[in-house]
Amino acid sequence: MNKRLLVPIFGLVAVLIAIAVISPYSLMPVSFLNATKNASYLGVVAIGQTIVMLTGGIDMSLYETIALTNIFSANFMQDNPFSILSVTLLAILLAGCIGFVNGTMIAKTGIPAIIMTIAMGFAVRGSYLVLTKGAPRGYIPEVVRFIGRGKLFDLVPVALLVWLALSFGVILFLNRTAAGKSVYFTGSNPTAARLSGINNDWTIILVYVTSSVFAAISGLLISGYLGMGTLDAGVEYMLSPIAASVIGGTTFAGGIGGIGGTIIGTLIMRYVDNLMTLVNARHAGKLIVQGVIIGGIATMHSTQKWSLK
Amino acid sequence: MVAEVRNFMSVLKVQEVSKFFPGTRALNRVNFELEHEGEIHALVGENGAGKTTLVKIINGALEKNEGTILLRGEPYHASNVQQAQQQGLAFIPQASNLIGCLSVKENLFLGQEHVKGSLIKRIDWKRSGQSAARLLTRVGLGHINIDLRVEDFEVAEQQLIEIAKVLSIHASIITMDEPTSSLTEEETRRLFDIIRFLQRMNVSVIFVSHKLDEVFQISDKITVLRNGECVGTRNTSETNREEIVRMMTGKEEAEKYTRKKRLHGSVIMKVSNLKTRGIVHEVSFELAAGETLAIAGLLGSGQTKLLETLCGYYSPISGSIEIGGREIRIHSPKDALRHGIGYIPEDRHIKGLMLNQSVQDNISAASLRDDRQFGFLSIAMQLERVQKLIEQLGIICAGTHQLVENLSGGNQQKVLLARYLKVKPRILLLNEPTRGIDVGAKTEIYNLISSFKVQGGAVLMVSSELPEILGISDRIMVMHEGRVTGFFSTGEATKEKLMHAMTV
Amino acid sequence: MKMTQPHISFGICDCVSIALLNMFTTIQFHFRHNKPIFIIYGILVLFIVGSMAIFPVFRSATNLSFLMNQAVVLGIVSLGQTIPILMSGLDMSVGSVMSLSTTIAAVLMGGPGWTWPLVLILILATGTAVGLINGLGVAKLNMVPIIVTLSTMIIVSGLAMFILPQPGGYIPENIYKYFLFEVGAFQGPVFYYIVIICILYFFLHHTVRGRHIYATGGDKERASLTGVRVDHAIITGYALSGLLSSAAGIFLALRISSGAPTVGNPFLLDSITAVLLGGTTFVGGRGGIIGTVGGTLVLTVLANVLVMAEVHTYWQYIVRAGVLFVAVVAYTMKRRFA
Repeated sequence: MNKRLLVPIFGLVAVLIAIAVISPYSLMPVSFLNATKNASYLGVVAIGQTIVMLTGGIDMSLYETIALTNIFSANFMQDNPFSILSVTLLAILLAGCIGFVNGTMIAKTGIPAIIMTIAMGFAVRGSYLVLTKGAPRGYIPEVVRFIGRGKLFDLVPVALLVWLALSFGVILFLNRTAAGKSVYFTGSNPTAARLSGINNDWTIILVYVTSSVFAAISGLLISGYLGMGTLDAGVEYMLSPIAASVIGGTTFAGGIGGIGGTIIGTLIMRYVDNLMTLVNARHAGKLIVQGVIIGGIATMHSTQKWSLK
Repeated sequence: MVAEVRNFMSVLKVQEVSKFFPGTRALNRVNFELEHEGEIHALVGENGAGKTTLVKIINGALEKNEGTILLRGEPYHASNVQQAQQQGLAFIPQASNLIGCLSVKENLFLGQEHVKGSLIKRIDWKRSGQSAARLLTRVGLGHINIDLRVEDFEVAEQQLIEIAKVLSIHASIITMDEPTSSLTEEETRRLFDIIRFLQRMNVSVIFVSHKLDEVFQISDKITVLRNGECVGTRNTSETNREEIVRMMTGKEEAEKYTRKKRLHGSVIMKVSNLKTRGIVHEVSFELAAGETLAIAGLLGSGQTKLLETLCGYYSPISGSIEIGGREIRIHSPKDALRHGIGYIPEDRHIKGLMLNQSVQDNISAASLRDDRQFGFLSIAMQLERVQKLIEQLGIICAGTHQLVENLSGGNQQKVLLARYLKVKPRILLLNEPTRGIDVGAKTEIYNLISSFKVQGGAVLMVSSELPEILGISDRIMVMHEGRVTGFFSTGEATKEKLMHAMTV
Repeated sequence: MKMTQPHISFGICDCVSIALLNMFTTIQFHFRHNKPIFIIYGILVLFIVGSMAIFPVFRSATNLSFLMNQAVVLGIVSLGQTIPILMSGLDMSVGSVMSLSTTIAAVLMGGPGWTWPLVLILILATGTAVGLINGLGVAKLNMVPIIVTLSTMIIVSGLAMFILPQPGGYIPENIYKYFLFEVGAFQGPVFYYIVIICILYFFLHHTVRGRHIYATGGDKERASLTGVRVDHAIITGYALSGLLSSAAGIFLALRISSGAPTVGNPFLLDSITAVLLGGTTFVGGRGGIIGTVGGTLVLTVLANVLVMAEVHTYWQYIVRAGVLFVAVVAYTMKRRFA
């Protein structure tokens, strides 16, 4: 196991202890599983953000892609299998195109990732605002609602399974395939990667397509959860995927980090949020605590770096 | 009456100084002394011996963990470079002390700006301008526009500006870290004149270098560090090269250049009328299996661009490249690797290595698809092959998971070499393969190059060290301003003939 | 021209042509060094001229002065954002600091115990404190700027929400007379903006600390070894960003006559846009506040024109995306082929 995971695991343990002390009932299987399910929506997006950060980039358009997916599917999905399937595929394809444009621009023109994805975020937002004239409509079919918020055998949340399956797949990809390893290399030193025969452009395009697609998947799960189209589906996901990745040990340097840490980071953020709700904290308090945790853990990662050498 | 004053104070006395980094002890109870004002004291040692660490501690860029430093008898401490400067110590870092995007005027006085005004301190540009003009005239650049950015100037002029900056420093002890690594012979001479001038002004100079020839030319004393410890100090006039090398490496300066008998293989690569991005044009040559063809030339003659085109980093504009008799198209490093060409760039830190990745990942980066089983990477297979290479090349590391940034320079270069040997290439393109590497590791790398040739590979090598070129190559191709100005076989080549071809 | 023999008479034509020649070479020199500034101001002029041609309303003096007024809030926060970007960093907390400033103003100014000058000082001190924390994190703890400023952004957001959960509060009347005066064609806030620009310019270009900020952005490692206190430069830079963000927040509070905990958020992305449009990029060490002012004006004129063209607010997102995108692509392409 990577030494990098020590800090996030420590953080997670600390949070769990805090929960045990303040509200032991939340550790009971049903509610605990529920809380963990709620982390799945963030978890899926965070995977995509982590992969992008591994190449030294950032994707600030993900939350708008989630909103777009939500509005799109609510608008077009009818309650029959063909419609559900085709709209799902179209939504993912659409997200893929967004990611493709992001990646291509960043790779080919050297435009900083933060700017490109911010601009793309604006563009996506403007698009769905104009198309829906500010009033999204439509409902999400039952099947999708089940995937979004339902449980298999009344116990295991489907969304959680999706998150875990995707995480596993990506971990396998990053560590056991040439393309996955290339992500780390491109992030660490693009010139060296290029001289090793890696095509940086394709690697970058791949990660941005992946992050947008994962945002779309998360958007579908969220749509299932919400049950309808709304303008705010993506609102909480602008910075939280970045926070989850950072807590998990992925930095902006490129080449350092991984999904394992992000999973822990996601859980930490979700449990802390739950905890705050339980103690009746106001939104303000939640924000402050969130900021302190992110800053604190990032500091620990920074100072730990020296001891790893 | 120097004889009477026997217990004078040394200018600088470093006593039992140690410095630890997590996992290593960079300096171990080192002693170093500048005895009189105006002393030129060379600090030599292999890479990783601790020279830069020591001088950084002296100049406030690093904190020591143990030991004391006395400056003219008084305890000395500096927690940052500015404090050191205030006490009269200045540091000239390796490879350029200038910041490209600032103007010449600003660069010359950065850190020691002229200010005026009592309430609101502002920069006195007029005085800076006058001082700058004076300094620049000393190095022959009195006519330049000092408001232009440093990066707007030619490399040669930038180097002169660096030397002018040396003059601008008001210090009693100046440390120069490898000051001549990017200077030509002419500029080195100019720098030495200035160092001697400083000496006459009673400014002491600590001269860190690995170029023993220069050290013997300019210094009064030599201190040798090895593995973080001080081996000893000698008066330059009382010692010789062999003794110093022995102190540096712990062994005799063995025959560095082992050139095994050259095998006359068939022509592997033929380049015709190659024109590439930049100044390279009309380059033609042949490379045979089992031979080392060295490319000699002044900085900027196109050697690097040539190699970078042959390895696929740039696309050629016109001309042809043939491998094994067939013309091929190389548009990316991936193509080049496929055709059996591996390129090791000159700045291994910047271009070659992925510093925050492990040894295993760095070595296997160019051959990821070879270690596959059932479609996925087999870590076990990769590990086995990597370990074999580590053993073969003698790479010293604390395991395959160690991050490459923690290895010494020589070992890092070996990791890079291992990466390209792992793809089993036919041709190796090497750009300054032994730059910044200590004597011991240099020999190991020469041996590795030799054994590569013995197995039928061909080597095309760019080097700026003429002794190295004369020592290990079979043939020499000289370039100047982007074109080939001569071919020599090593037997008939002399320094003079080569210099002539490089400047024609 | 070297005069080896005394020249009897210098006609007026000679003087004029020499003067013109000098002016020309100076302009040429500045052009070579500061291309982005010429570009952005060129675009600005084109915009203004074009708008005047298309929209008669634009030609009125009231519109122009309204325009300048509009630019002040974004202008000041963008000035602040310029400095971290000059040092290859970023200040994500600018928007939240602005929000916090409005909430403090709205809550304290109307109430007992605080006179408005004291509240202003408190606000500026708070902004500076946030900036100091950011700077310390980047300089001393070696953290990546985005992460440090992200953390402070979230915390400050929380604070703002804590102080004033819903938009509201009260800004007393008597403060306005110091801000609504008119100096010629300019309204009060514009006057302050210009003063801030001048002070900041002097700081960045004529003081040691300011030049050290540029040096740090140009090459941090080398600057440090040459004796530049890189850590001081970084801390000062982020502190200034925080200070200017809080100042912008004050002007924002005055404009909306209230406080609101999330009102500053849009300014984060807009400030980054303004800085980048003005030619200061993340490369570091290049660019400056003159360009940022140009970028701010372009964005303000653009917003103004969109309103005039009766473009629906939803389209403005797409337009902003386009502007941001085009500007940065243009700069990066230029560097690639330079």
